[in-house]
Amino acid sequence: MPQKKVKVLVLRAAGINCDAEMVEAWEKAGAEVDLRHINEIAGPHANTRLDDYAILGVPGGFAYGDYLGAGKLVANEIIYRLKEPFQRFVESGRPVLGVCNGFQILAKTGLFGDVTLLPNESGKFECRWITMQNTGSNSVFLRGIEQIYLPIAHGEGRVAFGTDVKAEVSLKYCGPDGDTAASYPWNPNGSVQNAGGISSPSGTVFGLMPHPERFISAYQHPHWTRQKIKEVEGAGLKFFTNAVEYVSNEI
Amino acid sequence: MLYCVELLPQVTINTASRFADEAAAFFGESFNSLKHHAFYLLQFDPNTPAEIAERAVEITARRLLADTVTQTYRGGPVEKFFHNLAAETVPALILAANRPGVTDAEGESALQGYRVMAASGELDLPELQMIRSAALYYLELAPGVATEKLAEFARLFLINDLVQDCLVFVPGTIKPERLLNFVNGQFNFSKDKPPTVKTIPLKDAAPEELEKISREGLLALNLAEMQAIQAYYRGVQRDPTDVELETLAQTWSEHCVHKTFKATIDYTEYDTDGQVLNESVINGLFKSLIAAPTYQLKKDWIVSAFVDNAGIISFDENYDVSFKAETHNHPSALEPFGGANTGLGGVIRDVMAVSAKPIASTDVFCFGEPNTPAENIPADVLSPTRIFQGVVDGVRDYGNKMGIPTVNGAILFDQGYLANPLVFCGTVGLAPKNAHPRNQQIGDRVIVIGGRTGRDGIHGATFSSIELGGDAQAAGSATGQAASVVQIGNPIEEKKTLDLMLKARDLKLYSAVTDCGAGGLSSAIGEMGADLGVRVELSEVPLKYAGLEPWEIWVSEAQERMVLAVPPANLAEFRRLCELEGVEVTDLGEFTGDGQLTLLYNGETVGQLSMNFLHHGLPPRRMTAKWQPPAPKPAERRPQSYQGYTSDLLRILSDPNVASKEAVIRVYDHEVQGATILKPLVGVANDGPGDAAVLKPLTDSNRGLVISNGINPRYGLLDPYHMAACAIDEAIRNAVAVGASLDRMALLDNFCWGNPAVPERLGELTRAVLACRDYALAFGLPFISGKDSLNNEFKDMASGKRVAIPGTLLISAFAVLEDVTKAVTMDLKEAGNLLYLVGKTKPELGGSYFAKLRGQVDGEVPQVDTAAALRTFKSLNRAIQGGMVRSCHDLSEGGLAVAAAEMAFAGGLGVRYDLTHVPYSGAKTDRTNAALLFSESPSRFLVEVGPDQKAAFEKALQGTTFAQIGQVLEEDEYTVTGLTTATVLRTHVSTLKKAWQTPLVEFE
Repeated sequence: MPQKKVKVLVLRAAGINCDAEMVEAWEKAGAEVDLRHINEIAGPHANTRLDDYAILGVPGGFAYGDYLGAGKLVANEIIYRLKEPFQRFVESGRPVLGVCNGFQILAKTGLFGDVTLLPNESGKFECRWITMQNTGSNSVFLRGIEQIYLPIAHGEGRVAFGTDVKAEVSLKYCGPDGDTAASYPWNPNGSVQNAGGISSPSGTVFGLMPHPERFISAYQHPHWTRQKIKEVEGAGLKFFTNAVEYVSNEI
Repeated sequence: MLYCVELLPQVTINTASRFADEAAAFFGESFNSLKHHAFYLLQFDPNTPAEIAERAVEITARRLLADTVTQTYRGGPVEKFFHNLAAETVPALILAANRPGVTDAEGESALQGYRVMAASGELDLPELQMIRSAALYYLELAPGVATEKLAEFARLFLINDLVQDCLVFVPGTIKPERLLNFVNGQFNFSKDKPPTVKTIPLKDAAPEELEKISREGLLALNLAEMQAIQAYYRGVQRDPTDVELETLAQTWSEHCVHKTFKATIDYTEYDTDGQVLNESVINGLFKSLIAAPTYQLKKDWIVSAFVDNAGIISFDENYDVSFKAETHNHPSALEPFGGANTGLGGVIRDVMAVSAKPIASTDVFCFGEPNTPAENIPADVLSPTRIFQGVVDGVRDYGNKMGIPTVNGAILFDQGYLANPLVFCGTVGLAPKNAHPRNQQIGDRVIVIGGRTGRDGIHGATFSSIELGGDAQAAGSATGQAASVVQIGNPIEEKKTLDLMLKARDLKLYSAVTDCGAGGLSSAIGEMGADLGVRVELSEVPLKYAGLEPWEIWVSEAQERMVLAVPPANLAEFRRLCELEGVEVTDLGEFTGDGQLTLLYNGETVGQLSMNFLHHGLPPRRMTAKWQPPAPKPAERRPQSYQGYTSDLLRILSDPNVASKEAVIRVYDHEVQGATILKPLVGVANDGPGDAAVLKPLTDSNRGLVISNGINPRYGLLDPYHMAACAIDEAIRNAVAVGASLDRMALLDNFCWGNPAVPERLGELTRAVLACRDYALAFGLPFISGKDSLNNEFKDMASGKRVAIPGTLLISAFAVLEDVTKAVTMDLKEAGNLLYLVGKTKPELGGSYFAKLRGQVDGEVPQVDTAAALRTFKSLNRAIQGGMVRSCHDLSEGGLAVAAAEMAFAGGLGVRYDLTHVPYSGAKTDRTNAALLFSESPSRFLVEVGPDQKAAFEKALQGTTFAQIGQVLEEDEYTVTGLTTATVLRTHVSTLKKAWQTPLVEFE
């Protein structure tokens, strides 16, 4: 009997713009995906319940223009319009992935404690590929990933911590030899501890600045014309298959 | 009652440090530090009790405005706040904000955020009317810096006078009343008087009065046009209302109706001695020279050419792709960020207006030379550096926020663009076949969606038809109109509108759509109702603030608006979708079937025009064009023993036009949507200059789209005809270099020229257009869309001199690629591989970068041999498709020497090649090392081939001109053997790379 597909909700709001790629990544990982505007989950047009999904994905973009700080205004909506279902979802241990603006949104809900993202130390938006090292975290998204090459595209990715941090750094920007203390340009934004990805202590909530959904095909790699293509899948897909497998096998 | 919140960062934020760097340079030793604090103004209902408001301000600051991990805040009633500020021993202070009425997207977003908090009911928050964002700058300066100096700094670096305002105080001079007045002005600016409609006494006006009406109203209509209007009103026996006259001025503007490209032209060619060579009458540059070849070529894959907002071709059996490129030159000259921002926003809407999803953008900029000394910049002209930074920022902001990758472009610097920068933006779209309806019916509703209408962008269409500086700017500032011609963008408003549009399209809810661009609603609705007639109630248009006159509502170019025809039966469903996506929707009226444009305000008719007169009443123009080539000056000959080619190559690589644009490319998200298969920067370190972008827009298909461009105004200084031919060739060869064939390739033209009323200028333009006809036909490639921007001239108020830009033609190409996995990049791949030069080199150094090094233009202008070029393009494509090519790069600025250098450093490998092997055609005496190294003959490629593919490659290229000229080396070495077998150029590839990478990094 074919197993029932894992259901993923990809959240959308005005200014989210990496939703199509994220939907594709989850589908390629074997999930059944619904893309929903936040107004379809909360308010008078609501037709969707967070409770009906096993995984929540929050894609990148410039939600509401990133005014008042990247991700802030969607976080504000989650806090005031989706508070209880969101809390329930997280507490039940179902995986939550925030990529780029999605990470900024998760951080600004306070989910990771006193964690925020500031404008890049370089003072400008940057789009390029960087390398990251797994710190050995228990994140369900990072299983089997040691080091990974992924694109970034952001202007506010500089992770900063306050006093009460409820998360751990699970991915660190690193230099070509794996040096996780390497500075700019290896650490593209000046994040403390070279933090590029953050996990909740449970390992089920994960936010990162790079875009794994932009590397799910070998032809998205910047050097594909220089290499013999062995695997047609890109390494970024692993984040998504990991979460789908975790739900299928362990929840 | 007004309240405020100031945010106090606890860590250094680098956005402030750019201002600090500028302040340090400006004030010199007087400067100590600069701090930038966000500042918000909150307006509650006047009846809100103070303690409730104060509590709400505190909650808003803590929960919404401040990032409490890294910021603290303070605030309260503004009056008290400013008095406290005056009592503190603060350093110099600058308060800056958008001018009243100018869009404040941040403030609007903050208000939405507040309303979400309030609606939750958990915080018991009172009603808030408005939030405006502002900024406070604190500068520690040595004592004695004058207020005027501080104000000058603010105007130069912190604000743009046209759309922003500021107050400055040196220490100890803060006046709370002035601060209060300033912030109160943010909220109380709209005119309270009731809207009025004026009648213009035109019916019986004398000719000079007609001209005066046009000039003073910034209508940009000439006497013949004013007289045509007069004749119409004599016929209907009344005078026009201001609404009607404005409608005519917008619809008949050069910008909207392209009078020059429609005119009948008497064209005369002279030889260099002034003897007439040839006289002809051209029946419309557009119709007879651009559109006619397209129809003649009869390509069955063209879906729409010239009639829609973008050109459309068939992508595969299920999808079409569209492409449009436009300029936004005048606005970018005055307010670079806003001009470029809304330029890109506008071209994106053109693609939305053919019901397509935008999938990529391109941008090409022309600026004055970087680091132009201030004394060489005319008054009222911004420095090229400031324009450059503002324009790049504007494109970055809009493109990134829309989630559209910016994948291809160019940046040129030339002093001819000092007062008139050019900003070209292009957008490519993808749509399912037959998804775009053009089927409005009588009874369909006229629906406007998206942003609200304000006094921004009034007279943009007519303003762009007048030269900058001089009369227009003076008249503009006198009437406050120069400020209002600048538009301000809000990309998120447009993104919402796009999300909605795609859903409404798939549900087939609308019967026609267009965007609001130049001329605003007047153009959009006027065109949409041209056949049927339309009735519009202007008082329904949602406004940003009260006080707009009916004519202002009608012609405002406020951004992010689309107009749709929606059948009444679909209206409820359409409204529901709008609500879900958070897009404002308004029903303005209906398509009537009476052939009239009827404009109402509160039910009263304020304008009525026959659609026939509006769209066909414009008197045809007859214009004179003259072309005489510049007298030839022999190019300077190098002495035989000259050995300076290494330094020449280094200097060309570090010419800002040739140098790496990485600093700009990386601030654009060029990978969003995940379809950018060949990125703008390629090679082992992701920093080589790719020839063209390749997109793979569908996830389940390997079919791709190639996007490229060609532009070289320097050739135009010699002959615009060959400039145009070379631009076409360059756009094609850039696409061919990555693997495109000519089988399904289409072209776009964008002409930017000076005043076409000057016969010599129109002659240059005509010559360029003639080449477009000749080469479109010769290459068998159709133009499918295009645009012109004329009157790019500046009148210096001080000297009275008029300066026109160099006539500039941008050719954009896009081509369907059967299989993206066959694409190649320009970076060298492997030591030991062979280097082939494909195509014939001629001694064509006219307009070249080699000539530019010597301060010259003269010499033979490069010319395109289409028969040879076609053979090369086809054969090379066969070789690429057959997998025989490891890398391929086109030869353009700087010729062979530059192409080889770029391939080498992009691949991190060395090269050695021999000029004696370069296939040459031309006089024997002109066959010099310089010509072979630096000639810019078109239709040439440098190709890397593995030794195992040598025979196959040579077979594929049979019948074309090509030769193996060298090989790829492991070493960091660049060596060229010259004609006398001596080494004529030798350096390290790393040295070349450094020369190429350094210039623009410093400029940025």
